[in-house]
This record gives sequence, C-alpha cells and structure tokens, in this order.
Amino acid sequence: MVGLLLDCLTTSALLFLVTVGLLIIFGMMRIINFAHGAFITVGAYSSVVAGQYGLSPWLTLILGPLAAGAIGAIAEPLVLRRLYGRQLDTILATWGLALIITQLVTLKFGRGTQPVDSIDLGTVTVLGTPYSSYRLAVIPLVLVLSIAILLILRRTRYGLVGRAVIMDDDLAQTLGVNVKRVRFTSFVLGSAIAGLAGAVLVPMSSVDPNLGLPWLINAFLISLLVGVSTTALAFASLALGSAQVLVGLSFNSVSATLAIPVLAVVLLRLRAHGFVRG
Amino acid sequence: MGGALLAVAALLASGPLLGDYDRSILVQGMLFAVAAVTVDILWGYTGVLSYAQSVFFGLGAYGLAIYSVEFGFSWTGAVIAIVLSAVAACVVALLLGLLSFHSKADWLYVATVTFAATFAFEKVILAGGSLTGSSSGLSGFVLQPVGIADGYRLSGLLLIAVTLGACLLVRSDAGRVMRAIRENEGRSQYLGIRVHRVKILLFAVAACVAAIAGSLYATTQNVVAPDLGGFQLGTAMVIWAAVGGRGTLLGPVGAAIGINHLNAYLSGSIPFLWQLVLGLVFVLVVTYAPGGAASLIGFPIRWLQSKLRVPGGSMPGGLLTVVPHMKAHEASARTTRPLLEVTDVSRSFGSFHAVKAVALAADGGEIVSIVGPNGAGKSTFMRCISDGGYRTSGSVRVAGSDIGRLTPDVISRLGVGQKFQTASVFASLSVFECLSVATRARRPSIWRRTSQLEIPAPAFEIIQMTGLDRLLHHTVSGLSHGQKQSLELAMVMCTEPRVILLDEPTAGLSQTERAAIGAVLRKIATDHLALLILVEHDLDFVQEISSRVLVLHHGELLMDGTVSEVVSSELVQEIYTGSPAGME
Amino acid sequence: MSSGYGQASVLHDVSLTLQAGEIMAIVGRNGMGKSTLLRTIAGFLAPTQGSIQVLAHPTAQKQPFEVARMGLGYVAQARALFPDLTIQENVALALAPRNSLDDAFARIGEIFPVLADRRQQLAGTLSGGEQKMLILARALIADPRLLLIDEITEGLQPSVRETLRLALATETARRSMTVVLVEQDLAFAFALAERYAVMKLGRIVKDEPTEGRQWQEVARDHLAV
Repeated sequence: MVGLLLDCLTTSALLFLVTVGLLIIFGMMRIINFAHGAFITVGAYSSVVAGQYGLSPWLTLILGPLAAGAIGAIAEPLVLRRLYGRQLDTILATWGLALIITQLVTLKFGRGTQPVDSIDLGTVTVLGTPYSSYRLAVIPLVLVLSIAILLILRRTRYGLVGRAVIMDDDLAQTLGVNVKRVRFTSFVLGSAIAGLAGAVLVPMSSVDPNLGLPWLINAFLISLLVGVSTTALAFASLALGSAQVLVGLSFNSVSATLAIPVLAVVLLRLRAHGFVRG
Repeated sequence: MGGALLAVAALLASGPLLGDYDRSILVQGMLFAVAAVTVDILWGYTGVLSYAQSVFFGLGAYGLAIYSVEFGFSWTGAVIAIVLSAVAACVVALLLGLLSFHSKADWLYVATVTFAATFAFEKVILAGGSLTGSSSGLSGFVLQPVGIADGYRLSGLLLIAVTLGACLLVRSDAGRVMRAIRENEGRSQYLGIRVHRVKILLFAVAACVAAIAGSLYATTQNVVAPDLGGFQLGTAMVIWAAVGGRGTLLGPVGAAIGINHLNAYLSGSIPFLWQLVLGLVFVLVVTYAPGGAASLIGFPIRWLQSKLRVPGGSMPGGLLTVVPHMKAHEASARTTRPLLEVTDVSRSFGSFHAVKAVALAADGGEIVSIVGPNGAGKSTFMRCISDGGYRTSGSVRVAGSDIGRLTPDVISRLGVGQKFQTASVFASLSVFECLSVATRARRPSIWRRTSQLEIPAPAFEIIQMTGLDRLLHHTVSGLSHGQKQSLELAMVMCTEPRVILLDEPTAGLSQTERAAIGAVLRKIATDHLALLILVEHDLDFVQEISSRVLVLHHGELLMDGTVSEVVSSELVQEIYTGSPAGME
Repeated sequence: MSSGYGQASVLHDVSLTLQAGEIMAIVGRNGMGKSTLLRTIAGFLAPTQGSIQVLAHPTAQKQPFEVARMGLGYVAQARALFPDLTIQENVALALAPRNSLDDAFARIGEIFPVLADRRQQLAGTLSGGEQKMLILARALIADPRLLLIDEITEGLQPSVRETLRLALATETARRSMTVVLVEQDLAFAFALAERYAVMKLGRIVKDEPTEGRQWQEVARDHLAV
C-alpha cells in the first residue's frame, strides 16, 4: 500500500517535471513545442557525455539543462521567432526540429541503447516498505523546482514582466516591455527544464534517441488540459499519474501507457473549450 | 488533372524499364502517396490536420494480414478482408470524428486526438500477442506472393484512381465548399454549411481510402509491423504533404514517392544523415516556404495547373456567368406571429452583463437600426439571434419557431443571414466561387462544377452595382475593402434569408458605395419583405434607411421608436455628444 | 510629427503635426478612425502609406515597445490595465527598472491619493473610475513626452471625469508634455485642449484652435444627429 502510494506520488512528480517546461513555453509564447521530447532526450544524453569524460553522474543535472537550453537558444531566433501567430506551422516546425535533434543524437551516439553510469542511491525503507531512494528524491526535487518557478513568477521583475506578457502582450508592449526578449528567455528556460527532466529520467529508463517521445505525448496532452496554470498542472499530474499507476496495477502495462492519453482526450472533450485560448 | 494521370501513367509505363528493386520501392511509394493524397484532401483543402492517416493505413494492412493468417489467403478472401478493414477504418474514423468535430473543438483538439490515436494504435498492436505478432509483426501470410509487376500495376492503378477522384472532388462544387471551410469556418457555418458534418464525412472517406492502400501494402509487401500505424509514419505523411505543397495534390504525391525512394537508397549508405537532411528540409519549408515544393518549383507547376485546371494558386479560366434567378419570391404565408420575436435576451460574461433583458418583435419589411456608443452590446445582441448557444437567458423565435440552442448553420437554414462587422469572405477563392459556395451550400455536387450560377435577385443587384460581376475570376484577397464588404453581403443574400443581420454594413465604404448599399437594402425590405436589423455608427445612414431605431446603452434597451422620435430625443443627443447628463 | 496613411481603408491621408507641449483633442463619432489613428502612431499598425515621426524619430520598422521607450505613452480604450495584477505591479511594469517604486507612489499619492494606500489590491477589483485613475497614473509616472489617450472618460461619472481632468491639467502645467486626446466628451476635451480636430470617415475634416469655439457648437455641428 505504501509502495503504491509512493508510486503514484513519484509518477505524478515526473509528469509535472516533464510538462512544466512545455507549459512555460506555451504560456509565454502561445507555442506548442513538439521539440520538447527531443530536449528531454538531449538532457538524458548528457549522462552519456558525462560518462565518456569520466564525470560524476550528478553533474548531468547541470549539463542536461545547459545543453538543452543552448539548443533552445539557437532554435528560437532561427525558427520559432519567424512563426509567431502561426500556431499550426509552429507545431510542424518544432516537430521538424525534433527530427533534426534526434538524428544529430543518433549520428553521434548511434541508435541503440546507451549504457550509462547513473546515480545510484540504493533503497530506503519507508514505513516498512523498501523503496528506491532515487525515485523518492524526485519528489523533493520537483517541489523545489516548482517553488522556484513560483518565486520567480511572483517575486522577480522577470516574473512580473512574464506574467504581464501572458495576460496581454499588446498592453505590455505599450508599457515598453520587450516582448521578443521575454519570449526568447522563456523558450530557453523551458528547453532547459526539459533538459533537466531528461537528466532526471536517466536512472529510471533506458537511454536511446527516442527516449523523449512517449513523454512528449503525455506532456502535450496534459498541457492542453491545464492551460497555463502551474497549480492546475500539479493537480492534473497528481490525478493522471495516479490513474496511470492504478490502471497498470489492475490491468496490464499497455493499458497503463494508454491511460493518460485516453483520459486526457475524454476530459478535453468534456471540458469542451478551446484550450489554446484558455 | 490530366497531368497527374500523365505522370502516374508514365511511371506505370516505365515500369518494365525499371529494375525490380526500384519497382518494389515504387510500389511502397505509390501506396504511401495514396495516403498522402488523403492527408492533402483533409489538411491542404479542408484545413483538418490529421496525424491519424497512418492509423487507417495500419488498420488496412493489419486487417488483411490478420484475416489471411486466420482464414488462409485467397483472392476472394483478400477482397473480403479489404472491405472489412475499410469498414473498420470508417467506423474508427467516425468515432474519432464525432470526438473531434463539434462546435467547441478547435483544430488543435483534432490534431491532439489523431496524435493520441497513433500512439494508441501502436500500443494495441504491441499488446495483441500472437494475433498481431506484437513487436515483430506478421509476415508471409500471402501464400502466393504477388509478383512485382502485378503489385506495381495494382498500386499504380489505385494511385491513379484515387488521385483522379481527388482531383474531381477538389474542383467540384463540393471542393469549393471544402476550401471555403478551410479559409473561414465561421463564415461557412453562418452560410448554412454543416461544417462538422462535412468534416466527419470527409474524414471517414479518407480513412477508407487509406485503409485500402494499407491492405494493398500488406498484400504486396507480405509483411506488416506496428510502425505502419504509428506516430512516425503519421507525421511522415504530414511532412510529405507539407514539403510537396499542401493543397496541390500533385505535390504530396510527388513528395511521398520521391522521399520514399530517396529513403530506400540513402538509408543504406547514409542512414542518419539522410533523416537529418529530411528534417532540415521540413523545417525550412514550414518556416520559409509554407507553400512547399510546389510553390518553389512555382512556374512550371502553375503552368501545369493552368493547363490542367487543378485548383490551386491561380484561378482557372473559362466562361463564368452569374444571372439572377427568376423564381418569384413566395410571399411567405403571413402568420399571426411576427417574423422575429426576441424575449428578454441577456448575455453575461462573468459578472459583466453585455446585454440585459432586451426584447424586440419585428416583422418582414422593417429596417431596424440599433445604435449606441461602443460597448453598448449591439454586436453581442445580434449574435444572440444568430447563434443559439450564445445568449445567457431569454428566448428567440424566428418565424414562430424557437431557436433554442441551435448552432448557426441550422439557424441559417431557418432563414437568418448575418453579415459580420469586418468583411468575412473566403480569401483564396474567386468571387464566383464565393457566390457559388453561398448558393449551393446546401447540396453541392461532389464531381461537377458549376460555371453558370443562378443567384437570388438581391444578390445579383449587389454584385452588379458594385462591379463585382466583372471580377468573377478574381481572387477575393485582391479586392478592395469595399468590394469585400459588398461580396459578403451578396453571399448572405444568396442564402435567401428572411431575417438579415448586418453589423456595420457601411464601415469603410465611400459615400457613393453607401448610397448604393442603402438603396439595395431598402429594396430587399420592400420587395422581398425581409426583416433587416442593422448595427450602424453612421447616423446619417441610419436616418436615411431605417423604419425603426433601437438605442442600446450599457446593454440596456433605452429606446425603441421611429427615426424622428429617436433623433429628437434628448437622451440620444446626450449619449452621442457625450454630455454627462446621459450617464448614470 | 507628421503622418499620412491609408490603413485598411479606415484612414485616408491623415496628416497631423504637433508642437512640443501642445494638447490636442480629436473628436468625431464612433467608427470614424480615431482609435485606428492612435494605434498606428503607437506602432501597432503599420501605415500602408506615409510615415510617422515621434519626437523627430521615424517609427517605421519599430516595435510598439521601442516606440514606447522613445517616450510615447499610449492609453488604449479597452484592456488598458492588468486586472489580475496588483496596483503596485501595474505601476512597476511601466517604470524603468532603476526607478524607485516608492518615489512613483509618492507622486501618485499627490494626484490620486485613493490609489497610493491600496498598493497590494488587485487592479481588477477597483471601481471603473479608480481603474481609469490607475491607467492615467501609470502613464504619467513613466514621464512620456508624447501621451496618447483614447476615450478615458467613457462610462465615468462627472465627478471622476473632473478628477481626471484636474490631474491632466496639473501634470501638463508642471512640465512640457504633448498630449493627444481622443474624446467623446467634448466638455472634457475642450477644457484641456488648445486645438481640436474632427475626424469623419477616416479623414480630418477640421483642425483648428479651440480658442473662441464653444464645445456645444462643435458637438452640434459634428456629432449630433
């Protein structure tokens, strides 16, 4: 029972971590970033690079976001900036970007699964149930990250400007806010968080070029459900993450992977709003 | 259209000249091209981005494979399997369509549902155990393998048939309706086109066609794998359509065959680099040349199109005529009820009440103007009449029947026409096509196209007076603002409405155009006994034309009277000259 | 500043030149192109013909935020504040990062004391009149050299209009600031402006000093039914 509860919590925490970067980009830029999965992959491959140079696997938690953020910083001015207001084209272009990044990764590292030294924390016993310490550590990590994001949004000038751009970018412009720069920063930040998510995922999944794809699908569906609210994201992650664990327990692993897409599609149909405008 | 035929026929004829390897790849390519055509019909022509065409392709392929494994392969069996899997694809498409196409869902939701469908397909196949062969798929189920030459002919014929059908469809009246939906879904709906029904139908047909191509794929390749219905192939199909040029049919066909062929050659020698190049090309096309290869090749294709009349960039030539139809207007049987009855209609946005309990009863022949300052709720009030789902409370009856929560397309069929504030037309269609869409919205032919159009007399007068009758071939996006306004009004009149809602019909028009529009509107009211309701800022125009004026202010009906009553009222003077006495 | 353009057939060959420190009112009925004119000057719409110079710098190719940083303040007619941000946050956005928020509120306290004590209140919870005060205050503390105001009196009580008028009169008397007012309330406009223009169907049909003209006369000639 304790194990099940912890499974629900850690799965939800991972969902939150994987989706929040997508949400930042969507909120600030009204862009659905289909390259998000590829950024996650890049973050995960930072562990491969770290291994090659004999670096501590802990460093991937910094390398991953850096690498993904850097790619985001190159892609934004080259591709995304030219597509503002063309939402559908942005989906296509970012998907193309994902293909490019995935192929670059494949060119460099091959298409197979990479053996990596991952962080190993062993297990701890929680209320009599042994549980992976690493999985457990994801929960405080996500809590710290979400509090940091909230603090940036609520307490800093960047956050204030960012919220203003989300609410009404025309009005922000009349007050002298450089909306272009806010969007650039947001895209880089969102990409970096995807990179962090990738680095965090390494000890829990096999590292291959398509690592990010299933996560992209879940993150995309959840972000449609929650609009731009991080609080709503926390609830949605908790609900859908738990649903996935419970479905997996009662049926089989295939129905578990389908739980989130099916639930999200049905919920979206019931809520019946244009979520883009929401 | 002949060009498409020519190209594919040339490919077919050259079959014997090609080596077996090339031909076997071309078989694949041509079947993928069939799927690409369905993507183009949905996305390029109708504006529905579907990632799920691979799912239907996969359903077809697995349908044939599973049937053959279970019941043994025979040619009759193959036909049965193809029919069964096409029906299955159709059913799945209808379900996805019902989920995706309704008044509250936007294109993004459609993309989402289809996206999730590819994911689900792969998972289900993987979980299918020995029935689907799980991750290794099924193979060797065709006991007498189809020879390469036969497979080549078979898939070539299918491609020709599908491309031909698609060409006929997109250049028919129905094709015009499809493009109208792509250009401006709202306008189409308010012209009485059942947009969602059209989309669901197209989606189902496209699914059928993709499934048949998938079945042929299984027959000729003798192997099926889960990725046939998966996300990668689904997006690849979208990429073919985008790179080849959406809305050109030939572009996606060429891109599907070409990319698949290069894929086969280059995947061997430079596997990942080739995929990388493909990704780069895709991003470049989407970002810098959204028209795709067809627009880049430009001249020759356009030349080909003008020769072959595939609707696309330039408008086809040929003689087009528009005449007024002489059907005498049936003076609608007079009932005791007024034509339009609005009872205590309100519309709130949260705590803000844009329209507060406004009532109005008006009859045919009246011209009712609604005036009031910005934000008075005038446009909101109009929308409460034309869209049943919009008002918060109250009731609206048109010719005695309650509109309830009906959608705009159905209300349009009750005889309510609406002209929007900003000229809302179909930018890439020609003037003639716009009129044809509006006139034939109810039952367009799916293979014939009209070149002589009979339109209702008021619509004809409008286009004649504004000179649009001499611009029938012209693309709408090139018209002046005033011409677009007039065209929209003419389109509304083509649906023969009895209640006509006009939101600032004179905005942006010159003095002469105003006078002309005024004359037409008066004629519509007197000769055809239609009821006109106008929102108008130009008070001179209002005075000239109206038989009755409503004054709205802060969502409330302040006055309802004749022109002279309203004009001489101090209240109105105060509202308009901004004297504080008019405020609460 | 001179401009001439035709934008989506809403404006036709409009030319205007304002001297530094001049206060001008633009009047006319709804739908005649007044707001479009302001939006174009603020850089949200590109003129299809002609050019605009703000404070002797051409604005072509400039983003609205760049025009704003040149010293242009723009109070739009609708959605001119962030209802879900506090008063303080609304003001902070308009302030250059190096300027002190407390100084700004000290100034706001002088013109609109009602706002200064409620810095943490959400702007959306203010009354209509207080919202307009906040919008005007926010525009003023950025010290614009050219201020465009689109129908700030719309839907306000006479007493609030008077407060706004006083604030504008005090601020313009204190330092040189060019103001363009688009107004329906001619009494308000004529109390402030030295010059007025009448717009009709996207053209300026009259442009003259307000001196010697009664607003009632102008209202009768150009606005009344």
